[in-house]
Formats: sequence, structure tokens, C-alpha cells
Amino acid sequence: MKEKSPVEMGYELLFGPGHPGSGNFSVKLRLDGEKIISARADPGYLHRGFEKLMEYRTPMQNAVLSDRICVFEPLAWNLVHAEAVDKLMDIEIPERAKYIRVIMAELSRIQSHLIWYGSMSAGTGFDTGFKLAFGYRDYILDIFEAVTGGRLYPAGYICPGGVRRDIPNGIEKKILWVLDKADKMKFLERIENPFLRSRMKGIGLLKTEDAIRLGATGPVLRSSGMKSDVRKDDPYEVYGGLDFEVPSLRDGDAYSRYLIGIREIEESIGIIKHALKSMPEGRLKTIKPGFTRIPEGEAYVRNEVARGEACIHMVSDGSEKPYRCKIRGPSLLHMIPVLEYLLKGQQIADVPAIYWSLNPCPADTDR
Amino acid sequence: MKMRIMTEVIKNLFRRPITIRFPNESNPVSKNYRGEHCYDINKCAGCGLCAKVCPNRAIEMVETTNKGKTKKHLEIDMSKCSFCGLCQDICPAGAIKLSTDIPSPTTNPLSLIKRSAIMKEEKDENEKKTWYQEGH
Repeated sequence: MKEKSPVEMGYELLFGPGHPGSGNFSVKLRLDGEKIISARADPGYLHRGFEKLMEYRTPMQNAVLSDRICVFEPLAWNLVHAEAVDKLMDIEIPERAKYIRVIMAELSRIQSHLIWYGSMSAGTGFDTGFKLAFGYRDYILDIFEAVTGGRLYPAGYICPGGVRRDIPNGIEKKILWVLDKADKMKFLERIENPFLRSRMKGIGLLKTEDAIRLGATGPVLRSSGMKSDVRKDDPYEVYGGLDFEVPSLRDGDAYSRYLIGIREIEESIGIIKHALKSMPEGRLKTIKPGFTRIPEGEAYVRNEVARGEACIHMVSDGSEKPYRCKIRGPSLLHMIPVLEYLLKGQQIADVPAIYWSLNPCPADTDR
Repeated sequence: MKMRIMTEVIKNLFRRPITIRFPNESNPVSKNYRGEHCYDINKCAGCGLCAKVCPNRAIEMVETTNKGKTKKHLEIDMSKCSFCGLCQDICPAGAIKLSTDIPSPTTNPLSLIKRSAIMKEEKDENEKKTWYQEGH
């Protein structure tokens, strides 16, 4: 086959991995002037081999490791891993621990959506939004520090069998105060920033059929018009008893993905308030940290994390350590097929807007 | 619109600043904060559970002989430690605890290996100072 000349192939531009707006991720763009002919995602800058590492550690040690899967929402991944082990070991979780798990997972979702909003604003040149979002997020990190002992990494706070320690006295009041602060994000939807609107409206259109075909989940799928949420469809923990709506929008462009983040923050605030009200007293965990044998068998769990559907398939051969732990993160499909599909035919200036509207997490993509 | 800006400006005049004067002031850390380890060698039975549970293998059990007595105690490599606190949870005697002190940065990698002889014991809540106040 004759090799194509550089003129025929088009000019190549690397978006990342050193680009401030991309994280540890790279997209190779083929250009015709300002127009993108084709895009090729180039992951692998943050690969740490969690699936293999987990085969050499006990479930309690893996709980600490599972923080690192996604940098933006460690608590949500803690929960997925803990649920997989719980299912394998057939443990009944105490009711209070279930409520604490849900509250922490929802706080983690709000925090992650605030990062999403902040980086989306920064990517499109709206610095006020970036600072607002990261400012509000800091209040939530204070709660994480008081409850788990670490601002970012909870170190397996949600562990197999329950949670590692109780929430401190009087934290409920602080949580409610922080939720009122985060509730102010609503005004961002109301004011409809003209700059943000002009940069994101009608850009990166993803139809419902395409979203399903390419494997999009979570907010990306919901903003394309499909009401799909694991919390509603297949309730885990105590989500079945809490009342909340699943927001969905029909446009499927970058701007609707931006709006859906704010709507989801509102829903999460409602969930936490409801859970705080109905949280019972009681025990916190059923097993002690140590070296319990996992019974032979396999378990598959799926959870709704901020980015979409997170799944873990764990196989055990009856020893202390899992035989295989397959992790399915939501970002992998958003970052490779969906991003490549959306970038085709767009302008270079729209790359950051599309890239950040998908709520990417390079750490979760590479794992 | 103008009025809204003016009210915001006047409010801001009397608002306390969010920033702090860093070397002199510090943000207080919460009681649950997972910081540098405290280790009580007299309580330690030398069972080695902490070394086994440590996810990063930062804890190693070593033997020392003092006045004809051999005692097993631990050695922590702080450069490997992720401050998860599993050692604190599993210790049956309560010999190892995570304090709220932030580990001080260093240029000497060897000083990161904490031998139990030089490891500090639990301090009073009042005595605690942050690392930069101690003059590192």
C-alpha cells in the first residue's frame, strides 16, 4: 500500500498530555485547517495496574487501594469494592453503616460534580465558575477530613462489612451548612452565562442511539435523553427507600451536559438531607480488619458513581485474596469511543469544551 | 444590577478574609486526621500483625537486644506509608496510633525510616504544634 503524503494525512496536533486542560491524557487530532478530520485517544499515561495489584492483597488492603482508582471520587470506588466483597462473603451490613455509606457516596458525588463544573468552566475560559466550584468543594473536603481522616483519600473508609468508624458528633449540622452552600450553585443555571452558553450550545451533539451504541452511561447518557440510573433501576444500599428524581435532558450537547451536573447536585443534596433524617442508631461493622477468607465464587456489582456506571467483577478461589478483580470504569468508554466520535468534524477551539463536558477522569480510564 | 454590586461590595468590606497568614497561623486539623505515627514500645507485644496488614509493606519487624533481653519492635518506612491507619485498627494492645501531626518534609531519605527508638510517644493535646512551628 502506498503511504499517504503528509498533505493528504493532514496536520497532526497533540491535545495533551502536557496540556493544562487535559490531565494525564492525550488526544491525537488530524487537522484540515481548523477542522478536525479524525481524533484518536491516546490513554496510558496513568496506568497503575490495579487489577493485578488487587490479586496480591487482602480485601481490607484492597479497600485502601480502591481509593486510588479515581482521584476525583475515592469514596464512591470504596463503596463499589466493599459491595463486591460483601456480596462474595454474604455479609449483612448494619443499617446505620448503610446510611453512612450513602451519605458519604453522595457527598463524594457533589464534590466530583463541582470539580467537573470547575474544570469545564476553566476549559472554556470562565474563571469565575472555576473558582466558585473549587471554593465550594473545599467545604466538602473539610467534612471528609473530619469523618475519614483525610481530605482527599479516605483510606478505605467504606470497607468490607460496613464503615471503619462512626461519623463524629455534630457533623450533621456541618453537613447541612455545607449543603446550603452547595445549593447556591443553582443560581449558575439561572443566570445562563452568555459566554459559556455561546461556547457550549449545540457543540458535541450526542444522540440517544449513539450514546447507547458507544456505551455512554451516567450523566452523559442522561443528558442525551435517556433516564437511566443504577440507583433507581437496580437499587443498592438504601437508595430504594430514599426519594429522588433522575434528571434528564433532551438536547445532548455540551451545554446540556453542563446543566445536568447542577441538577444532579440538587438531587444529591435532597438524598443526603433525607438520609440524615432517617439514619438509625446501631452497629457500624460486622467484620474486623484482618485476614478473613473469601468463600469460593464470583460476584458482580454495579454502582452509579458521579461519572456513570462503575462495576466490579470479583472471582475468588477460596483464599484470603481475590483470584481476579475486573474493574469497569465509566470513563474508559466516555474517553475513547465517545470522545473520538464527538470530536470528528469539530473545530480545534471546541476541543476543551467537548472534552470536559464528558466528565473525564484519566486515572479511571487507565486504572 | 448596580445596586446588587454595591451591596456585595459593602458586605465584603466587613467580611473576614478566608485566607490565613500561613507561617504564623494554621488551619486546625480535625481530631480524626491521619498523620504521623505514635508508638509505645512498652505496650507492643511484637506480634507483627501491623506488619502483616500494612498494604504497602511499610512496617517491618526487627529484633534488638538490650541488656541481654531481645525485643521485637517495628520500623516504619515513612516514604512507603499511605497513612491508612490499618495498623492502628488491628493492634490488639493499642501500641501504635496515628497522631494529628503532619509529617515534616525532609531532604534526607534515610531519615524517613522511623526506628522505634526515635519514634515519638503520644503527646498531650495542648502540647501539639504543627511542623512549621517547630522550626524545620
